[in-house]
Amino acid sequence: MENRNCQILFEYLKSILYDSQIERPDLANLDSPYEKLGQGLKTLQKWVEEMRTYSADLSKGYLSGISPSEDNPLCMNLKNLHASLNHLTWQAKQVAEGDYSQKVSYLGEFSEAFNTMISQLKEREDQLKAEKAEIEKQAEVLNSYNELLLELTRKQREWIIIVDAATRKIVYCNKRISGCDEVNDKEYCRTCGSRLPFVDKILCWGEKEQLHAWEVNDGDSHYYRVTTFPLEWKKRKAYAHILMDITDEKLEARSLQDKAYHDALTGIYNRVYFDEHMERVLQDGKTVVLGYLDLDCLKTVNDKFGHGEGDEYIRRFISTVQRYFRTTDIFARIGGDEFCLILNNISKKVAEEKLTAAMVEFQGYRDRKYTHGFSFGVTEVRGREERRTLTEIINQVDLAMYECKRKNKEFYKRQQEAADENLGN
Amino acid sequence: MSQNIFLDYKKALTLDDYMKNSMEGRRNLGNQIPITVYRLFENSFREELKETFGEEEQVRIFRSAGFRAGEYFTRNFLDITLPINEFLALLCEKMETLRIGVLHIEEMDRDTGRFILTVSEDADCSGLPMLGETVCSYDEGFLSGILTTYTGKPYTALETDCWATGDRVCRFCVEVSEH
Repeated sequence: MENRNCQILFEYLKSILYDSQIERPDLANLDSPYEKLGQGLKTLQKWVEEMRTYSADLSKGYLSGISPSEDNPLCMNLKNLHASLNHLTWQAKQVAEGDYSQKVSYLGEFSEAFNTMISQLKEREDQLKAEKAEIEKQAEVLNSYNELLLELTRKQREWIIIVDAATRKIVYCNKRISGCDEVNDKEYCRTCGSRLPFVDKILCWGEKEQLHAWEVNDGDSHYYRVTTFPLEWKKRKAYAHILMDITDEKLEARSLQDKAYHDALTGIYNRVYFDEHMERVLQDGKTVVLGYLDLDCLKTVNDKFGHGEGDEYIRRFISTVQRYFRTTDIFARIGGDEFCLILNNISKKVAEEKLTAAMVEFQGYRDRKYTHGFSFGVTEVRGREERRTLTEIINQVDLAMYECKRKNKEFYKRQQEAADENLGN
Repeated sequence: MSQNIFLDYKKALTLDDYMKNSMEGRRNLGNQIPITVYRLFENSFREELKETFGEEEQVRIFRSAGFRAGEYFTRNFLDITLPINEFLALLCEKMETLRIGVLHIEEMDRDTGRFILTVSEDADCSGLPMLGETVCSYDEGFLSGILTTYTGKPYTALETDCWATGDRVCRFCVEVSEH
């Protein structure tokens, strides 16, 4: 009897400890002294089953499962572990929200590892915050620079136009009117549309030069200097064109050129222009007729009647000569009383006839109390056959002029004698 | 013995008055006593109150006394100007430093102000035999006194698990009272 009861209870205990499905014997079959022990094993079975379920839940991190009965002594430490895991879960959430005041105590190595992790997280976050603050500060500075640059670009007198190399469309223009984003349309901007009629040339640009400076005219006496260079714009190949209105610059240059090439008193060309023009004539092998004119008696007029009258005398001489020649002919003052005519498409003979006629007319000028006259010499510059230098040409025509002057002096002398004779009578 | 005129006009002492100069008379023995003595003190009161007024009244008195202690503790050991996270961290640290127990937070609902807190190695109950009922009514009052003082809202605390009910921590549900 004793063996049978012991055997039943032993098998029951074994099943409680090792079997996943515990086989409980019919405790009613036990003899009286063993029945109490059987009841105790039944309670143990319940606690073991609770502990298995509870520990399985905790091992899987399932913290909201069924709690074991309050009086289960096998689960006490597991309950402690459960509470710690609950708290750790809350702590992890707090850390995720940036609460680095969390610390773990009394969990051995885990406490040390957790607390070290929190300390390092805080250190790194502080470091990142410092870096972020520095980056934000730098970004703020860069942003202000960028705004300044944009403002300067907008207020630039120059046009800055970026053209997509593939599509030939304008992708940026600093003169873009606010709200005008139709950059794909050639008429996208009234400013450019009306003021830059040559915009097609810009759109079609495709040269491979790194930097190209060119000038363009809008056909309406406006000039632009264009500086063009390739660049990458928003990861696409493009060309940048910087357009500067140089009309004023051109006009000023032209004005300076006029001043440099013209005689201030008479408005006709000066010695500088004459020399440069004649050098070009000789260099290009052109055929022209050169007239060398010397205004007679200028010194006498200046001395006797003053320089104002002398200037008037010069202007009258020029006016007289110009009437015999074309506006395309070059008339230059190369010295105080020396002048040159460069005549195209005319023979030497005709030139001499015209100058003679002009001379006669000038000599006949009677409104003043002094003699009017000029002397001249003429030579032909013979295109490619011409072998003389400009100096030699001038010297030669100067000789012819002196011959004319000699004759004129005799003429003036006779005129004076006739005048004196008339006064005597 | 002649009458002491000063004692005739003495005012009633408050908790703050009693807590003053607590070190004055303990120059040699210091400010700590063993947990056994603390429990002897507490549980003798518990037993006497229970026998005199019944268990319900004893629990109410313990809870009410704990609330007073919680208020005093908050005013004198904590900093109510801190944000909630820092306040809780300081509370945990102080409770541990003063050997009251190891306070842990399991849940915190910022919208409703509801907390699930645990205290392990609690000075009142840890190690008690299995009694089948919670016994930490003093702690209930203590925790509700702390949070009431900090938030300015009326908090109550209810112990749901206790060493005496077979757990290894005391678990409290602490929330704003509807009344």
